[in-house]
Amino acid sequence: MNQYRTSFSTTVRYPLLATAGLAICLLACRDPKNPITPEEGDLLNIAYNPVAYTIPKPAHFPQIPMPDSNKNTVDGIQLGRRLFYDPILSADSTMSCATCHGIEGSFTDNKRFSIGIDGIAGRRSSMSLLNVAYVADNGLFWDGRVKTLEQQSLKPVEDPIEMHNTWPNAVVKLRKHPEYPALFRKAFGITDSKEIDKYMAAKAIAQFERILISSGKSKYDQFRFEQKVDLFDEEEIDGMLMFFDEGGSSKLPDAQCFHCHGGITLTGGQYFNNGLDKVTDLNDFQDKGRGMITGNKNDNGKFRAPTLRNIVYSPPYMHDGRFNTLEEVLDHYSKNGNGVSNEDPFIRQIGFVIPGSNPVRHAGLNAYQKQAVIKFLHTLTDTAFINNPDIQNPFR
Amino acid sequence: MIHKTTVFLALLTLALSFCGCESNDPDWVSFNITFKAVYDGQPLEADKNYTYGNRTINFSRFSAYLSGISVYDGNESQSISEIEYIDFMAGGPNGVKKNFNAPPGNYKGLQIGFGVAPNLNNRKPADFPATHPLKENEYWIGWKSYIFTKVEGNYDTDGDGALESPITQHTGANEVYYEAKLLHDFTVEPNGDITVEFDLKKLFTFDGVLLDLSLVDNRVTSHTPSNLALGKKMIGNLNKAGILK
Repeated sequence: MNQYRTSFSTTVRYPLLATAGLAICLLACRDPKNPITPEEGDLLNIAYNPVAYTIPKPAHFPQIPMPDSNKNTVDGIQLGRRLFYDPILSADSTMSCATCHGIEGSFTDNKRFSIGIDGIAGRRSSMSLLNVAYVADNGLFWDGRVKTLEQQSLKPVEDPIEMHNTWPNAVVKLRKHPEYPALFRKAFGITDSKEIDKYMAAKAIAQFERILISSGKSKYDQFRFEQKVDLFDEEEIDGMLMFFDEGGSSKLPDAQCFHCHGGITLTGGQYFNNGLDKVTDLNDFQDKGRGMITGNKNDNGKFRAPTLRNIVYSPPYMHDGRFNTLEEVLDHYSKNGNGVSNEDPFIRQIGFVIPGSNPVRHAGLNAYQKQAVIKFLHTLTDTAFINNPDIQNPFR
Repeated sequence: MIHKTTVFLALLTLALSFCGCESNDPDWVSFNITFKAVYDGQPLEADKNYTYGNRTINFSRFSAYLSGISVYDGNESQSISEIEYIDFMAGGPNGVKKNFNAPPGNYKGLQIGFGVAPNLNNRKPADFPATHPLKENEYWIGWKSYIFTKVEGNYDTDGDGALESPITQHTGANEVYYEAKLLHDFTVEPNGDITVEFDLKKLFTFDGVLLDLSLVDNRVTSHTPSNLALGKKMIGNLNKAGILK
């Protein structure tokens, strides 16, 4: 009997125990919300009826670029919106795209440097995503290192100082999730969960980001494009005239802002050295910015000009968030730069010409002029955009 | 029936108006034009100093809209592009290469409109598709015009070697637009290459004399829409600064 028992233990009981243990372990480890293992064709019973989505935009805004390979659909945007706000893509499920691009900050995080899941700070401040669809042509991020929103969406997931995940891990979580496979089916027509991949996730996020378009209802839009001329007071008009160099140069000086922050979206998406750092050699910039991407020394210290729409919502300012207030920003520009060779030449032409200066120098802006420009910047505030129900966090 | 014909003709007219004069004729062939900028014959490079008379100058930007680019056979011109935006320094010293289609054959030159043709300049960025050269980046709301050309850089006004004086020459407005021909025999053949080269030293030279850049009004035209005279003078000189190779 003892011998039998010994034999049972070695030949039957241990394997049974091992199997039971493995089963318990698997049950314990499995996502309790996901009792289903993906199988081929597991999504075929879900309807796929893509409906094209025309992104609403103000009449005076340019047409919105949209790649043929990723046309917006209603379900694609819904999926993208959910992925954008869901921390599921980060390694520890604590960080989403919205962590650094929160709606309260006009899709920034209002931090000098964004903090990743491991508590490590990045080296740049997060950029606003407002009207980001328009700038993709010129490159995304502060240095333009990627050309499309689809490419951009892939980056933070695997960045070790951001979400610090791997895409294979993130994709496994999406495939096993109780709701995402159906959402991917509706957005992209996949037939089983195993078809979900990082490119689909990136496409969906890009679709959502493309709808982050101004409402066109800011005070400035109404004043300038709807001719509601009574909306601005004297100071706001002065600020606008200086911003756009329309002051006639006698009563009001040129603030030269629009050369970098021009057009309807108030950014041309181009790259400038805006006079932040004094260096003796262009190779001395601590953060070379655009130059790191192009390899062109003359691009060192240049960064993409951000939109000024909703600028009030998105402090701190500059690529490294060095200025906390618009007052500090205007103080900086009023110093007329550092004379570095690749500085934008308009930096040195802010303000009235100093009488008798030879070579000609400019005086920057005085206290009233700075305040007037700031007051004008406040008219770019677009609360209708911030409150747009279509772009809110769906988990709240 | 009349109604249908009218609608058809209206639609056809509309379609043709959007197509411009360029053709998708299958007999046309693809060829390249490289748009290149030089200074006194040397490749134009950012962060490089050049001699301007007895002074020093450098350039950080040179861009231009070129409208109605046409191949010219000595008698007639055939449009190959309604408008192009050329950021000459974006492509480095080798210039910017663009692809066009044209009927194959021998030509006497290119016809080019310098700036944005008035029929386009009177429209707004919102009128154009997202990929169009006139989408918005160079639109100046204050002028209600596109900025036709930009020359930016720095100049050593006092001769001490420091480039302390910014150059920001921007032109725009319908009044400064004009068309001219760059004459030079060339052949359009499949995958052929021609070059349009602008020499900035010639751009700043009038009757053999360099524009006096010690005068601030000659360096800065960016926010003086009333200063059409200098704008006309500068953009008018593009024709003389350009050669076809």
